[in-house]
Amino acid sequence: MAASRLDKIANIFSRATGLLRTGAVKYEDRPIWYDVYRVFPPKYEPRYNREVDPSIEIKPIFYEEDLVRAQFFEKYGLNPGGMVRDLKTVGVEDDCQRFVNSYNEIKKSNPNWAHSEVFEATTKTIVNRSSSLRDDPTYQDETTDTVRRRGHIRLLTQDSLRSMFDESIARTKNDPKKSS
Amino acid sequence: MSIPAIKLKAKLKPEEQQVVFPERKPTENIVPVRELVAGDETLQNPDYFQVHELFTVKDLFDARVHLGHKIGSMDPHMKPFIFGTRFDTVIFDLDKTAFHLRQALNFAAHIAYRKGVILFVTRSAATMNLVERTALEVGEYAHTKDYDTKILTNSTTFFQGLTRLPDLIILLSTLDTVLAQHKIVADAAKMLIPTIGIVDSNCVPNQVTYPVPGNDDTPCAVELYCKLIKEAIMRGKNRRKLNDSQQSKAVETKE
Repeated sequence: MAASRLDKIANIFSRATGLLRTGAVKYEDRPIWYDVYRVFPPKYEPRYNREVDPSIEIKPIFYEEDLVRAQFFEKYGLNPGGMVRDLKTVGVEDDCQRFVNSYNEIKKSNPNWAHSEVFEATTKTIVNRSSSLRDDPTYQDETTDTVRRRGHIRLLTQDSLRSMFDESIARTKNDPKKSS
Repeated sequence: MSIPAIKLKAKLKPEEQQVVFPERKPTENIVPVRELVAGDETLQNPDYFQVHELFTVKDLFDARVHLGHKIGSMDPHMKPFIFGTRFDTVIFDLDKTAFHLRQALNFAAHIAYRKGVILFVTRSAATMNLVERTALEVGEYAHTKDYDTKILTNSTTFFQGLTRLPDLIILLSTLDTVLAQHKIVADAAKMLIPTIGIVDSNCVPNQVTYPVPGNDDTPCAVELYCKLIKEAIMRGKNRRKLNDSQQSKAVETKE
């Protein structure tokens, strides 16, 4: 079509309208989209130099349960168990979300409990269900050792890293071949 | 050789100083909207192809459409579509996304109904195959490889013959590289071709005719867009087939 190619000026609809109005293009030869655009125009004019309302502020989003989430991550580390996620799966519920859901349930059934009590109770219930959370040093269970030995991934927390570091130092000190 | 003296013009009178624009005639070449709508059944219904029922906001959320990029890479033109930031990650307002997506799907269905040529475009390597497959399934066209600007702006020379350009371009990602916008957005505006585009928080939505704010990187989000666009286009095409067959039957009975 004989349109102006200055794409930064006005929008496609007004430029097409100009052609039709002056008779440069016959009304019968108008583009297919012209009628549809006329009846259902987009909300914002598709113009190159369209400006945005400067008063719009972008606010941070926080939730009440973020406190529980923060404590969970402090205790178990980010992504406990080193889970690998497939981005094609829809609606994933990770350990942290499961923990928060369980926390909310317990809090609902025991409205008089303090935050720390609910958190403790949640820890006990949730840890029994999830194998990736068992590496918590405070959790005493006979099966812990076997699970650790069997599991391919060992949870890396600050404490476990330190203990591994200490172990290796002790080993090199005891072994005279390596130290020399 | 003497220089001829320049005659200074007398000052213009105030009424002469005013620039007089020729009076713009009323749009006599263009049919008024009321007549246009009265003569076309499909334009009378705000949602003739019922595209609003194709998805819910929950579907968008499950497909992670709400996740944008980091706030630092945000384009200021995306501000009206944004709900807030969650630990410096931009989160889209899915109610607004749903509105814009429905508007875009409606437009796509109408273009398909009018037998328009639709071109699917993306440069994202992760979703190229999916987008091409979608175009194939609806019987339309796709261009996912390196884009040459001559394809639209100098098509007659490029294809060595008279070429019909697309009537609608659907961009599943408006970016060419991580930082640059796809050149087809500006080219479509030059050639008076409307565009539907998924714009992420680091894209510029201005030149896209029907921008849909949302995540354009995650495969499951792009899968959802492809599914919805496919359904909308098929509704438009099937409706056209139905109406055509009814018309031909009516003609036969008259004869």
